[in-house]
Amino acid sequence: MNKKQTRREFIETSVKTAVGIGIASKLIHGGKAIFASETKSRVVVARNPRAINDRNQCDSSETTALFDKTLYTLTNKTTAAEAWAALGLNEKDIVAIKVNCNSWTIDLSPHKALVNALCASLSAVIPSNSIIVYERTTGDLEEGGFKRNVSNSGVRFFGSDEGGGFDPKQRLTRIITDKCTKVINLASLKCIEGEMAASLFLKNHIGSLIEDDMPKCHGDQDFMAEVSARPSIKNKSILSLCDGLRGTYERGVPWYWKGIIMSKDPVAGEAAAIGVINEKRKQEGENQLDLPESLSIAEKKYNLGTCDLKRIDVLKLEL
Amino acid sequence: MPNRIGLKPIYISFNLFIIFLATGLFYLYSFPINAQSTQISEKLHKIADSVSSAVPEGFIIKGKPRYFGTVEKKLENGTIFDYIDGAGENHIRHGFTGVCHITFENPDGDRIIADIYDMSSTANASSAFEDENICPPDSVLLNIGEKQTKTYNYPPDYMIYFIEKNYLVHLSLENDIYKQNIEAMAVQIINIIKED
Repeated sequence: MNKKQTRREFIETSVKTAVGIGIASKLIHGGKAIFASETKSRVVVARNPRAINDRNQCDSSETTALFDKTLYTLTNKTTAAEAWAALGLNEKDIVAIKVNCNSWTIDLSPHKALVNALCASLSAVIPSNSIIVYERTTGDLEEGGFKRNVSNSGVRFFGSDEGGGFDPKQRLTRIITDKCTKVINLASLKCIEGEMAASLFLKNHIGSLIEDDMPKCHGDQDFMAEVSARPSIKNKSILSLCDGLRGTYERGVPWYWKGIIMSKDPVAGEAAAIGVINEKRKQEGENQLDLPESLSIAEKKYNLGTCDLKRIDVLKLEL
Repeated sequence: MPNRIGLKPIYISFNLFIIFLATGLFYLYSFPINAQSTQISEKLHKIADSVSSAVPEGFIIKGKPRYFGTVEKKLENGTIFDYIDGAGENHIRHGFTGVCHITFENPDGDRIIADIYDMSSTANASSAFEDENICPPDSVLLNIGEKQTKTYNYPPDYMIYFIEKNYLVHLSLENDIYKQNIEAMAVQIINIIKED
């Protein structure tokens, strides 16, 4: 009797428990999903071995495929127009793309194929002449292999030295403060070791500064983060994209990682990029880079994103 | 009234004294710096002029040579931080005073970059050459002429570092099929600096 009751009770209890667990797990899962979408920063870490060969030559269509697939994954959309709309872009916007063309020792300027893929994708929403690719100077852009274009046709390429000067209050190029309505940060996957660890999204905007302020970033982690917190950068930025087709995992030593990193959150994107560099450093027996202090300052003091790995959703793509 | 007339020359003399003093102090402090910075620039200009003619066949100089100094003694195009950003700290530690940056290009768009760093003394140039933050550790040592150089082949790039007198020279080529051409260029640069 006891046995029967026990069995019945056991079965009843089991069924109830199973149903309960099922409902609970669904709720928890649903809850987690809601939590994740509200508080986690998504970073897409994508590679396409066919996008570039080992002589730094890109395949345009493979690079475009890499860019498009990464953008769609980041935004959960299936077309460029939908993806950019999800990022807040509209047809009247003027988009400034900050690139880093520092070519000291190894040229790590962004690959033209990637810049073209980005601009072609943006063209689904805005005219190509509403896109400005800029660097500190036009000369720097030219050294990076880009041709100056200040005409009324096609994507514009020029430096801050031709950008109408600097905003005296924000001490940033007027390309950012006056000319554009949206900003895209296109950094290169560059390891510099030391306290800064890498030159990525935060450091890229040092090139948007008035010249006299540029040396202030050396050794000043707070300053580095604060620049990206200035209203024109913080409020207009819609995307952070890192060109890792060829990057460096130690100072001055190139490596064909053959991928890109994309996020809406520059701090999470930078933390993930350092993670990519660290994976390679581990393979090569190098010490691991710590996340630089500028990232935690950017998170805690300036609310620019998160570098807390528990609050970052890293989605890996392999094309 | 007599008192007022008596004070006026003293007042004028005092003002003149202050002006002379200020002018004297200005020259005392600024002239040696300007003179030194001009001297560095002139030396680099002279070397740059010669290097510009040592370019491998098929290449031509692109734009004008650019000159970068220190924060205290800027050259024409600014400071080393305007050129190599934060990594310039490494060169400063080894006595860097100025760099001349020259770019050459061939019709296919392949570039050669020549950077000639004035490290202010032979000892400083040597210590910079040994610093792995400046010359990465995985070099291949190669004798070019009688000079030991550090070379790096990261396809398609090829780089050479060497020192001569107080100069650290860095040659960077974007297409290693022209490897032998920049090795020949290195020999010419060594001779140019020797003769300087």
